[in-house]
Amino acid sequence: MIIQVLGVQALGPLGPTNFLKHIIRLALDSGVRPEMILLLFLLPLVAALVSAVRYLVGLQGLGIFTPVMLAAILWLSGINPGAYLFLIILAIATLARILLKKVRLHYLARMALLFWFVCVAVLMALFWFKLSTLSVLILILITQDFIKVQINKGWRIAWRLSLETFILGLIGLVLLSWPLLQRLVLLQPEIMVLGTAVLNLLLGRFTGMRLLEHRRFRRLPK
Amino acid sequence: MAKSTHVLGINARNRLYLKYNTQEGRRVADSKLLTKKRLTKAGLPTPQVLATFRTPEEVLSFSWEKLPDNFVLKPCSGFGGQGIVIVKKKAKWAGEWYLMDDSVISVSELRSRALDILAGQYSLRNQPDKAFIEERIRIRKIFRRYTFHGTPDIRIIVFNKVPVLAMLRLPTPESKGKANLHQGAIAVGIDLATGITTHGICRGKVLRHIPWTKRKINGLKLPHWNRFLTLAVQCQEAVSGLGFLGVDLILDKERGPMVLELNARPGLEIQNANLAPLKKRLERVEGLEVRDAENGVKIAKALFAERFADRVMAEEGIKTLGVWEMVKVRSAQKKKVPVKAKIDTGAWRTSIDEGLAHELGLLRPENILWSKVYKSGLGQEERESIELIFYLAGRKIKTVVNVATRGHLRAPMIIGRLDLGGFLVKPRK
Repeated sequence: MIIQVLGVQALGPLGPTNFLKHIIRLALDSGVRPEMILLLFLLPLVAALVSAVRYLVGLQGLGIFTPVMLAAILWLSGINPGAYLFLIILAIATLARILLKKVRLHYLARMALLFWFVCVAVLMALFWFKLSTLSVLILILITQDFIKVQINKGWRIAWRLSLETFILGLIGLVLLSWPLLQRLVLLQPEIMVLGTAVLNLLLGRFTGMRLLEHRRFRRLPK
Repeated sequence: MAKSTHVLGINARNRLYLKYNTQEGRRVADSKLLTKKRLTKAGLPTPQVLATFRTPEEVLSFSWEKLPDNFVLKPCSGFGGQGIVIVKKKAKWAGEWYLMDDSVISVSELRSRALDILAGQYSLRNQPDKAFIEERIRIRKIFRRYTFHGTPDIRIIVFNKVPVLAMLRLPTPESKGKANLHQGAIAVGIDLATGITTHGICRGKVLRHIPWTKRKINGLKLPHWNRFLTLAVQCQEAVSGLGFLGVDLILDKERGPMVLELNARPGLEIQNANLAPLKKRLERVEGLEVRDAENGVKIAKALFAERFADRVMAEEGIKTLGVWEMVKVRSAQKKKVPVKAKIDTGAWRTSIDEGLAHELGLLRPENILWSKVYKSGLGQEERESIELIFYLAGRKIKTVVNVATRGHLRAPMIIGRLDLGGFLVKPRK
């Protein structure tokens, strides 16, 4: 178990360089689950990664919240059930939207009806996949973004963005389950926290071209 | 990763140039109705608003039958052309209209679209929105073979009161009459100096011809180009807080260029349409002292002309002459008499045949300025010089000409260098 790495680390007296280590130790001693600690430290890093992919590469995804949550779900409930349910929800939402296209309804009523479809589908799917309540709720919640994009920009863009979101979720999953990072969080949480903040500050000031833009503007004289 | 310094990417646009647009400026640009209000106040032309809807009750109580034959229903804060319904003409029955693709739309469908708009289906961030009905600007004849079921518009990016890039946006079958690139319209670059189209691009692919009419895309000269440019800069002067601005303009048959809307976050595809990197242009313009719109347009024309622009402008400002030209000579009776003349850059003064001059009554003593002995290819002879007014290629020229016996020569008149200022002579024509 990953927690065992903490056993060998000796903590000095409380100070500005090791206060997070003390907090982690305290939390674990009072019964907080280690996954929680890892999540809280690594989710900001996943979020930073999502923004890095947006600003350095140019992949959009559905905002920042959705891919981060997807990564967490994939990590907590395993890649297969999470991914399948994600795809099932998207497929049902698309189908339902096609069905509802002919019926003229008010915007919110239509959204509510799409939710109805999604929930019924998830109910069916739960016979095959074992997922925690929270994961299911979050998955349903992120469908909202998907449906919104689908209504506003059409299914093509919605599916492209969802695929990008899924890729981002997978990359996030890799980060979350990378033993090296997990050990870094537990052994050097100060470096992790500070590093994530610095990474975000740097990304937020980046004014260069995105990777995909080099392709988009390849015909222009440099 | 190769670092490109001249192309404007989204990161650079957002961080370096959108800071010139204040919150207040964005508020105006994001609301088409507020934009219209501000522009009208500044005396700039915009298409007329026929009705506005703020509440669902207004939609339900509106008498749609009273609308003119064609109109456009738009969301006030829509973006990328979403939610817009373009109505072409009345259908057979009252309360039904044809859309641009000849499908029929009924009052109830229009009403429900208006309600969707109010509910925020098409607005930025899905906030509740207003809807309005605007007159439809019809397609000008020159664009007819370039567009499919819709009116093209012109996007000009203005920075620091200088137009920096412009493109023509042509509706396609895919875009269903709308001129938005995200809907599949064609983007065509425009040379800023002359208003002549350069390259076309659609969904990232280069186009040389309009796919359905095979019409060549480059070389179309837009009418009223100066007015387009000036109007775009005037928009920036009229709405404060929009330092980096995209202006969408449309051409009306009677009223000329009009402003459709302002854009506080103009897209970057315009670079591909022009094959010109935007950042380089922005940097050249940044910090310049620009007095007014005319000044800004002049700067743009001087800085950003395409390579062919000199030639085109020269042809516009300077008339080109062939070797043989018909001129009109003003006779003593103030009549314009056509005379065949040879353009002769080897001669200094213009000369006219004595017989012809006599015929026109130009050899009366009071018209003769002086007589002088000249040496020429014809030997030594005394020639009179007279004052003469003639018209060459539409220009009036008042000058002094020599009278010579030219009856045996091919042209009764030659025009010399003295009177050829401001003309170009084509040696072969």
